[in-house]
Amino acid sequence: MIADSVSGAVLISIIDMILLLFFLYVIGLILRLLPMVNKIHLKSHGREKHDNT
Amino acid sequence: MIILNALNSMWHSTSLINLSIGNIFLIILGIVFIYLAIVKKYEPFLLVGIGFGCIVANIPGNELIKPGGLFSYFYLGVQKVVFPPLIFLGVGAMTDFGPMIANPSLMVLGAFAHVGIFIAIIGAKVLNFTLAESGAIGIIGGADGPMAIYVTQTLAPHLMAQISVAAYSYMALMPLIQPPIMKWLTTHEERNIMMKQSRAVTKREKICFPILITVIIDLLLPPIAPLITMLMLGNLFKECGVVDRLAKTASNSFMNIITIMLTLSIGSRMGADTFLTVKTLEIIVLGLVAFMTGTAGGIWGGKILCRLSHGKINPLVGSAGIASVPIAARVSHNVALQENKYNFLIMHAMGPNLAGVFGTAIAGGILITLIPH
Repeated sequence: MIADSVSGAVLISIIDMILLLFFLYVIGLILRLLPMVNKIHLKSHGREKHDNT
Repeated sequence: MIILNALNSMWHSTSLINLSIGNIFLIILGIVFIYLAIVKKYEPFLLVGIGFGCIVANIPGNELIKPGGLFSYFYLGVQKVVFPPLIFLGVGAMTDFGPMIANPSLMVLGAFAHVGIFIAIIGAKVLNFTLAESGAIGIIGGADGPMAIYVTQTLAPHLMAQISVAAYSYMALMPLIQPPIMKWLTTHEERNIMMKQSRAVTKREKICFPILITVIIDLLLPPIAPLITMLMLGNLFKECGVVDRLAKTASNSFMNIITIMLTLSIGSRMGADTFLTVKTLEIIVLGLVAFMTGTAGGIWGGKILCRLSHGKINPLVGSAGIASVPIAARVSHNVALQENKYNFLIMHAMGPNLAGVFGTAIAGGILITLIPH
């Protein structure tokens, strides 16, 4: 339990900042991997195939 | 005598008899908001409604404000946290996340620009607010109105009026607050850096992005799931290309309806009796400190990335890490344009700006999780 004091506020700020950096890093990592979806070859059928040609 | 009695009863039926100095002050403040919106063009979509709501709230006995009045029903949308996810749906439907997807290395700026949140939390605690109140006040520094409402409703609902007014007012006043700090902390050479054009992001990436982020955020940070889920749903509407009607409605008429109700309900909470207190003044000062230090934090983050990239990143994009989309990105762009009229920074600044939306949501979610309420 975090104390309702100035030191508690400092502690919560430090924890929040570290977790914020971590989560944004994770999202950044996912974004780096996102171009991989372009390498997946989906079979096109019907109209889509026609549109691509 | 009859005429005098009639005039007397007329006088007592007017609202003038109950008008206080505080009411007059806040009516003038409402007029100033409307002036800034119309003449200075500072976020008119926010300030016209807030300013008008403020004027109405300070006319004693107004039926719109009373319990059961129209504005009190609007306020239920804030109180029951209905408006923030709906606003996020509209924001998602009008936002192109391409600049953020194209340049993930700038994501970290979304964290640097949130230093203001933590400084405000500590400052609020020093001023004897409770930890829950301090968390709600701190989130003003994220410059994200819906998120400020969301966190405040959970941590300190009694401060809703002050915090939402401070958050939205400072968002609107960002073009005034940020540039002096940005210019003070950067050199002429740094402001002149022209960034390379980012890679093109494919439609498939843009479609996968909202689905992936929804799954990850909903799994890892359930407290902010309602907001991010709606943001990503709106974005999926926009990017999938098969529900254009839904995307257009969510980003236009639907968003406008929610904005009318939200701004009027926020303004209508600015009654002199509840708003003119020492706590309000402290919250407004802390909000300003959060915005200023957040801007400075973002610029310092930008300067670090500038060094690490050997001068390829313009530090001005750092201050756009504050969530307010696209106001903060526009400010970065305008400051860069003042230095060099060929330096178009807007798309580069949109990356950190969008990262800031996630940054505020994540910071708020962590606060909701960690702070007992």
